[in-house]
Amino acid sequence: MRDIVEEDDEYSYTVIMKRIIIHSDINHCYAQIEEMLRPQLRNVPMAVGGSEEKRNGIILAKNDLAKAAHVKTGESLREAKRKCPELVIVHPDYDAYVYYTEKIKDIYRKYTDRVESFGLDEAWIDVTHSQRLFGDGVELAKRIQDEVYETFGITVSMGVSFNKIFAKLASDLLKHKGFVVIREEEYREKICPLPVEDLLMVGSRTRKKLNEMRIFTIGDLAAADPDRLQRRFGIMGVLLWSYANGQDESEVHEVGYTRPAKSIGNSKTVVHDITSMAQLREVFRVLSESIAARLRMDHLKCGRVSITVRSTELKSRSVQHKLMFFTDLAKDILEAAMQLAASLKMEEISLRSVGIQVTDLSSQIRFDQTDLFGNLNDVDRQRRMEQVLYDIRIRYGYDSCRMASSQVDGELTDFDPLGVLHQVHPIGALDGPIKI
Amino acid sequence: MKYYKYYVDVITLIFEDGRLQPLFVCWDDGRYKVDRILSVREMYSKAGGCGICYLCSMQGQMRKLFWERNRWFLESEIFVPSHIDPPIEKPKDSLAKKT
Repeated sequence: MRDIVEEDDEYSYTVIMKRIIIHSDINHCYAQIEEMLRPQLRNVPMAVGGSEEKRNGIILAKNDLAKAAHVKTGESLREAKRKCPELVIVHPDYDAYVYYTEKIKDIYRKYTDRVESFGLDEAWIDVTHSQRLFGDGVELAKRIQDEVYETFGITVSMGVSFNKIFAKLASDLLKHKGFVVIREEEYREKICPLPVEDLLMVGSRTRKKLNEMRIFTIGDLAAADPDRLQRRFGIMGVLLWSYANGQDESEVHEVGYTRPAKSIGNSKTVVHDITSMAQLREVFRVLSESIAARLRMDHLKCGRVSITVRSTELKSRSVQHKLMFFTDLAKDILEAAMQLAASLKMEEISLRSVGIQVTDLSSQIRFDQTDLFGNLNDVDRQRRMEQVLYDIRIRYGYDSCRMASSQVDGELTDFDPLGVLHQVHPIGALDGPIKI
Repeated sequence: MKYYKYYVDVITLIFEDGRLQPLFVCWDDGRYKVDRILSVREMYSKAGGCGICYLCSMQGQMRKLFWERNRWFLESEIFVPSHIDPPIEKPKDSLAKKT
């Protein structure tokens, strides 16, 4: 494995340490936590899924028996029930999932300060420097894996390697408390025969394009001409090539590190179809209030608004609009979103899910810009009003203060985007601009 | 063996550093004194759930009392002749090659 030479000033001797990165992945996380809490669920096909009545009924995770019945993650509850009529559906308990995954990560944090979460169930752990305290990194990884099992009865797959990319790849190779080590001196024979889509950041579309270039395995990718890849994929092509060659020097971030947000968004699958612009406005109002509150919380302003609408035939459309000025007001986001919705020129409105996303986030802009006839005091008053509304809701619950118009169809806007978890959404693997 | 868990009321001493010491377990109308705590460790229960396990001696019997997030449960082991324990999962140690 890659050696890290560390000078110790006090004793002036040199310690040679192997770079050891672990990637841990809790196997079918939600389902396993449910099984841990209720062991009888291990004996029946079981899946964690949303609510069919609220129409967000998809399979989020499943156990092995459900997998054997060909139940797939992401498919609708109805489809899953059709494949496996005896399937037991458990409603998700996010509170418990966050609690137990954090408790598991607390075990990792006992051994190093470099633990970087990748979603709820995955984490990278850099134990390079922990080896002085706890001994060989590979054995330490095994110990951590056993400790998680003994403490929580939950199995985690672990991949151990000399960089983050190969560690992640290794953890995906063997499920159910799998433990795979990929050393630098042997990575070629282990990694090269694997299909190219096993590499992080190669999705189905990239795989297809790579296959068209006659690149089928990671070995093919490693041996490909980087200039050719750059012409096809831009800078991303070179990045993939360097990943395939084991050239990933990216660090595992320290505990407490949070990456700056690139966008903030909220979406909602509504309880019944949206059939008019007035209904759409009410749903957008709830979403934009939540987004604006999150912007203000992070002291950010946004310069671009985009909306996504999904029809009952599950066709998605997305449009975006650059704002004249940066804003953190729900009112501005709502107006922009409604203009965008109008620009879609929908003949017949029948929407199942809608979402708003804001990008071009800036923490530098601390002033309010208005148009020629705007009044700055209005902007400030509006911000204070929205903040007070937010404070009331935080203190007395979301329902304590609502627009009268939302009561026309109370069911449609009966959700609280601020109350549920935001951190469970998948995050990207790349941190900042691509550096080769 | 079959395992059951019962959430119970426990009269608990909370030390100033946050540690807990179960004193009495309430069961039906009675209170059972925890005579001795033999070990304290974080582990999972075979009856489901996990937390801080207090191995307690009560009236000459050993009982596992779990502090699970914010409440206590008692693990109970019952011998059922027809019941077969599920196999204990053995860690896979091999270096895998994807097939």
